[in-house]
Amino acid sequence: MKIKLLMAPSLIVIIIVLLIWYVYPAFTDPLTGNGVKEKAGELKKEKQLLEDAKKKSETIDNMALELNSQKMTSSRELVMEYMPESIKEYEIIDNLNYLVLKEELQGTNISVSQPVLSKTAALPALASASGGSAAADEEAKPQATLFLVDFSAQGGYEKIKSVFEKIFGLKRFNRLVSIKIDSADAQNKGSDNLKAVAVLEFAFLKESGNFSSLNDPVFSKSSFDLQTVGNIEKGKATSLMDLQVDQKGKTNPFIP
Amino acid sequence: MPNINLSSIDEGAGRKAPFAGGALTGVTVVLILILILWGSLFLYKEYYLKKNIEQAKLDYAGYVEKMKNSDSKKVIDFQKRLDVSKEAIVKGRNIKGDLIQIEGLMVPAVYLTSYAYDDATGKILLNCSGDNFNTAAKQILSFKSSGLFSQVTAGKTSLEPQSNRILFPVELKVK
Repeated sequence: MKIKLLMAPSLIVIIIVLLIWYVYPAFTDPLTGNGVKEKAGELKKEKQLLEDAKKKSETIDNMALELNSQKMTSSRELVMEYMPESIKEYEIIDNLNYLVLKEELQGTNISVSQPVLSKTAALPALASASGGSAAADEEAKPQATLFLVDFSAQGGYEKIKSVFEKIFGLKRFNRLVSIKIDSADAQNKGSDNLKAVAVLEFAFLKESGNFSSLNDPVFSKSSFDLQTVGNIEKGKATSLMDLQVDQKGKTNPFIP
Repeated sequence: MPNINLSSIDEGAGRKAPFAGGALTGVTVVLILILILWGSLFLYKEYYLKKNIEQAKLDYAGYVEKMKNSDSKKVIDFQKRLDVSKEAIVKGRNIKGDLIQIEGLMVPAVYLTSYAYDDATGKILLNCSGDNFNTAAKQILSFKSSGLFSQVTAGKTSLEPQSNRILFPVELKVK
């Protein structure tokens, strides 16, 4: 009888103990994250990530198809010319020299300085709208490497004006950092024989296609922003010259 | 003879204890249900949730691997190049525009002996040569009244003895 009397309260105590120590922690355990509620949340998150990855994979496949299509060839070439993968200093020297000669100016200096590490990062891409952390976005931002070119030419005012307009219009990124135009002959000020000494800034962007993670802001876009291509086509009228080595090989390199 | 009840059986034995019978059964049922719930939670977590989480992670890794090996490299590179170019194309200044503006503001008796532009400060420094102080003043007024520059600052004037001309610098802040 006494056992019977004790059984029900004991069962109630067992129920309470089970509920508090076993059932509730099995349902939710924020400390260890091992409860059903937390795991269900984790599964939901993983499924969302998977769905996101699926969409991004499809987007990238479509963009790759678009990029490899015939109609994109010229746009790709234009962008690669505007922001090349390497310094291509020979291209700069050749094109500046060509413009100087075309304007019948006398080129006195075209010197390309090698990029300094601290000179990078001046041309960051637009901040991503992916909502990722600022640090992650900063890491993912592509950074162009900048370098300076000293350029001097001598000649008439109109020709100097024209050559700098054409340099500004080059289909390769460049920025006029500074310029000084004054008389080429210090004794004969007021003549039209002028000397322009300028510092130009050029840039290149190393191949940056390394896949880091699906959180890369690049994946937040569903298609290429070809407005930039249009802007280069419209705003930059001076085509780049294609330089060829032509002949090479010499038995004695010290003889002219 | 008086009736003496010697029975040692408790009267309550005939009645049901408060927790006996229905109540005890009810509590037992609740206990069993709780045990079933606990077991179900355990099974659901171990054999459905954890398994599906692992599968989702595997599938995700598969997509990442697929993207690493696909044309994504070309796409990322081109997209980043476009992003950088978009920022770059608005930079820089065509000095031809500035020179044309200055041409239109020059007073006939004044000419430039030098022109300098610094993109970092956005300032144009002109060294001018005028035939007298009056033309120098007119030239400064011409720049100031043009409204083309946010700031026009005249510098120290000097007389060049050889040519007998007035040399004066003017600093223009481009808008």
